[in-house]
Amino acid sequence: MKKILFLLIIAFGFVLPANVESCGFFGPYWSFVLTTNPIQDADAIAAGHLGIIQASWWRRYLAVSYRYLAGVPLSATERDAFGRHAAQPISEAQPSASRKWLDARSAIAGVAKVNEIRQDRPILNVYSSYVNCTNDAFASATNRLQELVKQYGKESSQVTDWIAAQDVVFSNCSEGTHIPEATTGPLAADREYQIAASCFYSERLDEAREKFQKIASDRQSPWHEIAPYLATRALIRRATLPEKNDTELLKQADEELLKLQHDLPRESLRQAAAALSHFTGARVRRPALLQELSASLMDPKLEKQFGQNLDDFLFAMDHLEAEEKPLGEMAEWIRMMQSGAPGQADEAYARWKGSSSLPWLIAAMTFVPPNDPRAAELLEAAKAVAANSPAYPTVTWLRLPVEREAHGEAAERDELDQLLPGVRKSWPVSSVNQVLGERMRLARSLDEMLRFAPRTPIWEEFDTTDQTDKRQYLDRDSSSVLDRGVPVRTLIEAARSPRLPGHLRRQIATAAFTRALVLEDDAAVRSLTPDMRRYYPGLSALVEAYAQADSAEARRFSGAYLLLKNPGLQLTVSEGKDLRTDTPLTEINGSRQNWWQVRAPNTKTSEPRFLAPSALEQFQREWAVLSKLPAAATKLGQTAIAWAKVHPEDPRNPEALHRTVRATRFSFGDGDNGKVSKAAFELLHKRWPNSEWARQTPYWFQ
Amino acid sequence: MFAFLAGNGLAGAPNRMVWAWERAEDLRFLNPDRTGVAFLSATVWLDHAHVRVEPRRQPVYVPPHTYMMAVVRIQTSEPTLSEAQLDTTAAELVHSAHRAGVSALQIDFDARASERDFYRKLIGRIRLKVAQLSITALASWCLDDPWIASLPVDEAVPMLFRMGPDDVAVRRQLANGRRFAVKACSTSAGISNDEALPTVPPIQRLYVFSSTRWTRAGYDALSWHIRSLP
Repeated sequence: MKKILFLLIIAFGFVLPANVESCGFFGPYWSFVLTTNPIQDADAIAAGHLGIIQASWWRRYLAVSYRYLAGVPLSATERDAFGRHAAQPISEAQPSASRKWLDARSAIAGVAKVNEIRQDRPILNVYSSYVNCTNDAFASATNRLQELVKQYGKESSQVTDWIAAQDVVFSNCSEGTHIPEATTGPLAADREYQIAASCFYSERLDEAREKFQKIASDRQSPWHEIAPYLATRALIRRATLPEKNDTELLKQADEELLKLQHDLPRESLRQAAAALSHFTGARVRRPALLQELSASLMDPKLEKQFGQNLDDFLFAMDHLEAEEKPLGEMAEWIRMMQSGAPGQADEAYARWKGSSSLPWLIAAMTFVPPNDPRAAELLEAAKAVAANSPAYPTVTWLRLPVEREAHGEAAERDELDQLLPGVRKSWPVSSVNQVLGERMRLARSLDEMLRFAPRTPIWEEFDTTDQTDKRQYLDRDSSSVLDRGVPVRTLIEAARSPRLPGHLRRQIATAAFTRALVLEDDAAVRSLTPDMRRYYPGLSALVEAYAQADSAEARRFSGAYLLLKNPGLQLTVSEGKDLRTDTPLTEINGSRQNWWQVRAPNTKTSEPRFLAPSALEQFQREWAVLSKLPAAATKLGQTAIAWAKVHPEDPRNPEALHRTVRATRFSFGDGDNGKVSKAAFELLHKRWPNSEWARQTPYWFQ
Repeated sequence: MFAFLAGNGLAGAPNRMVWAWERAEDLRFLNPDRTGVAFLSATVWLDHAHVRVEPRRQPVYVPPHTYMMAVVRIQTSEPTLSEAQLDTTAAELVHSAHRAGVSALQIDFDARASERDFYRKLIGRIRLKVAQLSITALASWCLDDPWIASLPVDEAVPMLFRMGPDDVAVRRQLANGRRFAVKACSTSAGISNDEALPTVPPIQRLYVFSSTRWTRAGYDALSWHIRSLP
């Protein structure tokens, strides 16, 4: 039989899905608390509405947070730069400056036609490329052409010769080695420069550096001012191409740039040298560079450089090593916030004492334990932070454990109840959810828990399906309590709570009903029957059949049959929106999100404190069954097979067996799946070979 | 005009292709006899009347003799779809296809209905200059909206992830045994390592996307999950 099955699979190209584990493929498209990349709140953060700052945020958000905490808001220019940076952090695309050059040269009669110049040169063997000819090169060429036209006339041979040589220069941008001939006469210096540039673009970098240095020493050359800068750029390329970092050469280049940013004769050149020194500095003197950038990023006068400085700062931070210091205030604050080491408390406290600043107050509150004698002092400082301060949500959040330590949970609960209306009104959704989570944790009753359980999800940007879904869902904390902490009767109570929106009541009622069927808790099934009929009118006949069953065995089969026909009946109270939220119960899910998965015994994570002892005992009895439950197909299939053998007259049998086989394909399996699949298949074909259900069941599944 | 080229499959391509997107990737752990690499070679932005080409900036390291496919992604923002945009895009596609070591070109363009004529013209313009041409396809293009059926491509890869509003319906249809009607769509499929695995129809070649950097351990784990697929 196995051989036949194998051949059938080959013949029909059937693909049997592997036993996909729940932890492998399933990524949520939503979050409740943005712990790493709060891009949905990027504009708000850039405007100073920081909410509760997370130490785990990407550093760009911490850098901006620091600015506000230190009392230096971003200007409109800086916000704009940050917004573009947040939206497109990898690279800002450059507009095609080469097009302007091509337009300028095409205005000259008699020059050869050039349609396109590619600015990138490939790095062989690694399928990458780098910007070889930058926009500045084309802008410079365009300016020079205009000067020459003015000086010699549009139709002069000087101009056409110069363009021809410049074409050779730019022909190296994307490939090859092409060097123009040297010349004499009034444009000889220009030609020397073009030759040096050709060497540069064709990766003859030692030669290029030598030629630029020679031009730098020629005071008559119109290019002698920029030539030293280009000689250093040639050195940097020598150090970094292809795919390498020659530290010694980079150090040499860095020293040259530090000198050039003071010595070069024009401000624009000095700025260019300074910017390029960030590139080298990030590789050879990170602490010093970070000190410089920490200061630059706090300087409103440098607003135009903010975007580039932030990029360079983040790059240097990304490559920072543990022992490197000092780094400057901003960098050191970010490093401390992200260190997570408990030993940071002393340093954070000392820095706050030394500065009385909000960033260091937050750092100190983050690391000083609530039972530390210094915590009271920090608490007083936190209470003095005004409600309109950008630090307010963070210090408010951080003072909660200190107050709990000092005055107990009741005080924290009262505090949260007072805070929540304001929090809901003006804090970012992520921060609201965080506070709701803390308040829910302190719940003294199911009703109180359910008040704070529904949260607004923050949909991932790429998820276009659910952006318009404005419903609230359960976060992990509340779903784990309901899923792995309370008995069915508490679930029923939750399913009827007006605290929850309708779709959550339905989800919980569905889980309670499925559990009741599996646990054979007849009273609970009957209690939930009106709810299920209301939510799922299509279930009525099956529920009725269950109600009419006259023995435990008959109810067991009726329940299994009902479940087999409705793969959307989930045992789990899931967090967020799952694949089954809006799909019909009868629909089989190709990703095996049907009924339930086999649970590991250690997945019981929640024991809500509000649960009465009797309810806790009841839950433990139920959990003893649920935590050892076989796979859905095995459990339901065994029931269907047993019933069919003893009650062959029941007309539901062929369908139940067919659905058992289908369940073994489309649900998470256990070791018995294949046996059940084969047994159901064989029984179906043996007893009801001419049935429609047998015709629809050509295979069984291993 | 090129109907004879439609959907004949990619000659010499391995059964498994790993997508390497715009991040540094070290894929030297791959077995080149069994797995190829489709690397993002460039992104072309058609932005109103402008065209912007962003070539790959990050290295991708592969073992010797790996089958390499250059992928060009086309992104649009209210494009004019002018002749100039057509010219520049076509030039970029041909350039990527002719990169050293590259065996095939894949175009990744989620063309809107208003952009389909442009896409047809684009493919027509480059077809004879590109030896092996693959395109990615929205799953709906291979099912109920088969406008790509006449495109002269060797392969259309139904993207069975990031399906947006079509996600539930497509998964449902595939689970119910529906097959892709378009011939070019019948040889391959694309999945991602961060989404639920759909029911994958019988195919010869599977493309796999990783939302994070590839590692040997990650690739091995994924391979185990999809061990019954190509």
